[in-house]
Amino acid sequence: MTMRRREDTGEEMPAEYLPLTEVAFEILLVLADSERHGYAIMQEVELSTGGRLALHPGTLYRAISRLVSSGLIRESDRHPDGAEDRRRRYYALTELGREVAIAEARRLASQVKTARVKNLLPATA
Amino acid sequence: MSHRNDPRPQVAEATYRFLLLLYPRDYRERYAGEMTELFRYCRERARARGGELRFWLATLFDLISNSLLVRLSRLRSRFGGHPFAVVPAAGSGTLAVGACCAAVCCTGHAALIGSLGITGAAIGTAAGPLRPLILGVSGLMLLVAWQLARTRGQGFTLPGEDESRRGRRRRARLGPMIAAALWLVALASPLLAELLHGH
Repeated sequence: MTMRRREDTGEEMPAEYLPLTEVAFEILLVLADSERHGYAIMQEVELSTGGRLALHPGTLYRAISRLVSSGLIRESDRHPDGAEDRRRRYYALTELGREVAIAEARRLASQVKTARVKNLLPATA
Repeated sequence: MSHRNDPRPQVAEATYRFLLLLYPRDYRERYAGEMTELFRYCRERARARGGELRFWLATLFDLISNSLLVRLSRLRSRFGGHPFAVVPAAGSGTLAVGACCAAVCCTGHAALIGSLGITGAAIGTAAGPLRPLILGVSGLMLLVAWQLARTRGQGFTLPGEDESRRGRRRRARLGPMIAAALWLVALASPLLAELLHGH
């Protein structure tokens, strides 16, 4: 995945990154509220998916590597206190990453809305 | 988390670090430390749950599949992300499997099988720095295989066909010939990729 820009303005286009893989979107969701290191990302993804998505190191770091190279997340300069934490690399969402996460959430919400119209899901109260 | 009650944490981590050699060097330099740390936590958790064998199988699958995907992605980006860039390597890989089967049937020479294996490795690492060395060694092994087939040809004979020593020897050369063709494909695969990419 490489950074995609609009040819005339040079701006990145969030829609060009969609659809995201499940792993990529989960990582962006985890990083939406604060910076995390790899182990914390893995734990939170497992927790938020009820154990359905258990990430192994190879899968997690390939996804992180792709997200970093496409500019959706970045390595954080801030290393929280604690000897163990100082050795770890922290990752943070970029502005583009936030826009892409919002675009993906909207895309999924639209699909859920269609599923409700088609009576595949119960209508919300 | 601690290593208490775990008799061989260093062996497990050393094994994992060794398996990380499957990844490209720069990727390892960047992520190997973090991946090993994560592996340690995951393994300790798996041990606590009593599923270490299943954990190792999942870890092996995770490492092999992801390292292949990383390498494939590098190969594609090397040729500008062109979808045809991997065609020569994939085609040659398929050819390698078929040629290996043919060669085993025809000659049974260990040197030939080794040569095919190394040629396959050369195709797999089409863009790697070891490629010239691998191709050189496999070329030498091909010559050895060819000589063995010429002097001690033991090719099988089909029912009703010529069973003379000369006939078997001729058939035995078929394996090295296939291997030689494969070797040339391996040699030319980056060139083919460039040509496909250029058009």
